Amino acid sequence: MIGLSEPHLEAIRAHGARDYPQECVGVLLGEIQSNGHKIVREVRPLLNTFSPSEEFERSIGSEAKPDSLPGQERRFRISPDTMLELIQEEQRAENKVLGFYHSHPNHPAAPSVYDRVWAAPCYTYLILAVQDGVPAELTAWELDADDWVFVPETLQIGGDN
Amino acid sequence: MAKVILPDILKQFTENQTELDIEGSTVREVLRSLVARYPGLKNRLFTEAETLRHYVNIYKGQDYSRSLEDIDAPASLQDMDAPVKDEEELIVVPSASGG
Repeated sequence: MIGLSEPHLEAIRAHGARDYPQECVGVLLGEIQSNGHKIVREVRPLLNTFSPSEEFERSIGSEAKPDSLPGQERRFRISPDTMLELIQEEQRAENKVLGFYHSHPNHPAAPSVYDRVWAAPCYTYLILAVQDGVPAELTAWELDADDWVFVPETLQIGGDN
Repeated sequence: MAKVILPDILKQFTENQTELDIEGSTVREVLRSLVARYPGLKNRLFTEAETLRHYVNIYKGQDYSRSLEDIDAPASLQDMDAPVKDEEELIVVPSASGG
C-alpha cells in the first residue's frame, strides 16, 4: 500500500497536464512504515531526459528504425546523475525514495513492456493517464521480483499523509 | 574491503543496512560477495544469466561503471572488472526509465 495526500495527487496530475503531450516523470519521497506501507511526504517533479535511442528500443525487442524512434511522447528517463544524487540524498535525509511517477499521454494507466523491462524491484510506480491533455486515471504498481512482472499496489488517497 | 552503498528500498534484504563493507578487488567480485552474503539481493540485482539487470547502474566513486548506453554489452565488457581499492565506494544506483 502507498498513501498519497490530495495535494500530492494534484501535483502529479498538474505535472502530467503541463508536460503533455510528452511524458512527465517525478520521484516519490517519504517513509516506509513498520507494516511495509509507504507514506509519501514529498512529490518532486523531475526532468524527462529521454532522447531517442536504438539501444533502448532493442532492450524491449523493438525493431524501430532510426527515423521512427519514439521520443518523450512515449518514453521517459531520469538522468543517471540525478538518480545518483537521489541515492546520496536519501543516505542522509529522513525521506527515502519510495518510487516514481510518470504519465502515459493518450494511453491507459497500465505498465508498458518498456516500464517492466527497466523497472527496479520494491519501488512503487505510479502511472497517470493523460487523455488529450486532461489528467485521467492514476494507478500504482510494484514489480514482483520472482516473475519480474508488475502487480497492482493499493493506492490510498488522502488521510494523514 | 569496498564500501557498498545501496538504495534504502533494498535494505530489507540486508538486515536494514545501506552501507556495507564487502570483500572483493573488482566490481564483479564485490557484487558477487554482496549477493553471497545477502542472497535476497541476488535475483534483484542479477538475471538468471548472471548479468546485471537493466535497472542496475554501479558508480565507483563518481565514475559510471556501467552506462545505459552499454545495455547490450556482455557483462564482461561493462567495466565489471574495474579494480576496487580498499575502502572505495561502490554505489548501486537504480535507473528510472520506461515508457
